[in-house]
Amino acid sequence: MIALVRYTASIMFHSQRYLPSALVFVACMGVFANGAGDQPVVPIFAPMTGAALVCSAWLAVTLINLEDPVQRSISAVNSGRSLLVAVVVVVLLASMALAALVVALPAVLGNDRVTTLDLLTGAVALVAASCLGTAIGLITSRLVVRRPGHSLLSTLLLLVVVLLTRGLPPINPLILRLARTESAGGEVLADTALDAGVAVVVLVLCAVLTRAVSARRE
Amino acid sequence: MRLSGVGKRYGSGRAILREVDLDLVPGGVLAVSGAIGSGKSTLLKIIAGVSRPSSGRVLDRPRQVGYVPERFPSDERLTARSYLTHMGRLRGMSTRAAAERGVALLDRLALAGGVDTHLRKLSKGNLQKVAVAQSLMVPPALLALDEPWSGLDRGAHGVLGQLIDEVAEAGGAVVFTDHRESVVALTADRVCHLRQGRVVVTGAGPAQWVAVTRVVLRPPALAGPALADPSLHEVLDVREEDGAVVARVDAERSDAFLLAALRRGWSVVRVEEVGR
Repeated sequence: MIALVRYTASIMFHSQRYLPSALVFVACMGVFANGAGDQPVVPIFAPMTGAALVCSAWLAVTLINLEDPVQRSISAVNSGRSLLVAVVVVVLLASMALAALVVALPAVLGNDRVTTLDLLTGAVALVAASCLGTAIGLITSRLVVRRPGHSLLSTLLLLVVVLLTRGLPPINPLILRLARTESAGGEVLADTALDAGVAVVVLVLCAVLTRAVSARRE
Repeated sequence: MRLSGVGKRYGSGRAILREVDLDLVPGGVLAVSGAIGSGKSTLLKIIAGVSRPSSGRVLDRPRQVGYVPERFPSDERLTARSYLTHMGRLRGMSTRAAAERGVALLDRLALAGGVDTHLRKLSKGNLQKVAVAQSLMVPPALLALDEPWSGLDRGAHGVLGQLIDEVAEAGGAVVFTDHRESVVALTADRVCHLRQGRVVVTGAGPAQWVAVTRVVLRPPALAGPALADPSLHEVLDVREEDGAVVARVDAERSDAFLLAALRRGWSVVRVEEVGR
């Protein structure tokens, strides 16, 4: 599995498809997180969670759509495994690296009002967004939606739906809760963890469904 | 390995394969022949495990499978060495062993441009060499090659034949597709002919299909033009033996080949009918 993850990561780096999502994420940090040194940090995690969702979906869908189906077959024959798990691992690792920047920012900028619970809540929220974004990327990739244009459109559509549909778990209530919280207590962390759990379940279900659909078509 | 009643249909389209029964034996080389659209590539994908049959079963597929697709993707951003190292690691090799094996295979197949050339900059023939090399990073128990000679230069033709022989001698089962009967005759010990998705002939010993002439030549004293156009003269393969060049040619085209070689300044040492 490590070899497959290394190979997938090298495809990502050589293709430079990670650049748009990394730039968007860093730009969002510049806009929303510039007050991380002296303001309450939990509301800052709200837009950054949205950015993490969009960036991880972009990474997953481009990483899958980028690879030639024939090369995917060769890799599968050589490794004896599906590339899907490697894609999930690489996207989550990349998303976690970006999330770590956000979580570390208040400490770097010397915010003395930030608590461990605040940072933990932010980290769990970003993990939840990365998992859900990866799930959306998988289910709208060309493994499921054949045409590249349709694939991209369905990614955007699904992102808009999960972000803006009021009350639809896990991401919309999570973002609204973070935006309204000044300092995270145990209850906020528990609710965020519950949303993260839902996101992980959605990711597993989407991965299984994507695998089943692509296997039927092969 | 055995295919039992295998059928394939994509969605609600027409059946690509119907009721295919096939045995692949260790050490055997099976050729799948047939016209374009007869289902050769689909059958090979099912044998290699790339595609699942819609009906029927594939039994006892070995774990180590080498697969060479009909079209090798050319947009890989890795170099040939780096790509083969990754493919070797996917097989469980160490980085060093994979890199060494990859370079050795590409040396043998005489990759033009060097192992550090990016795959997207390689010509079709050179990409095909990388495709063959990735399938042989570890000795496969099953080697499935889809039109593996297409685009290869004449030198690599001979090397590919040797590599196939080596896999078979080591106890691997080899299956390949090719539309040229001469290549099938020279390489395979069994032939399966497909027509409209059905196996219409499965027979042993295609050797009698094509008579082969073995021509031993000495190169001209001054380096001159290439020996002959393999595609034009049905040169099956060319190997170097003890300073001479041995070409195996479709017997029906051997006169034209000899004439072309003589015109290019080559000397004919010996000509013999070898059957296959």
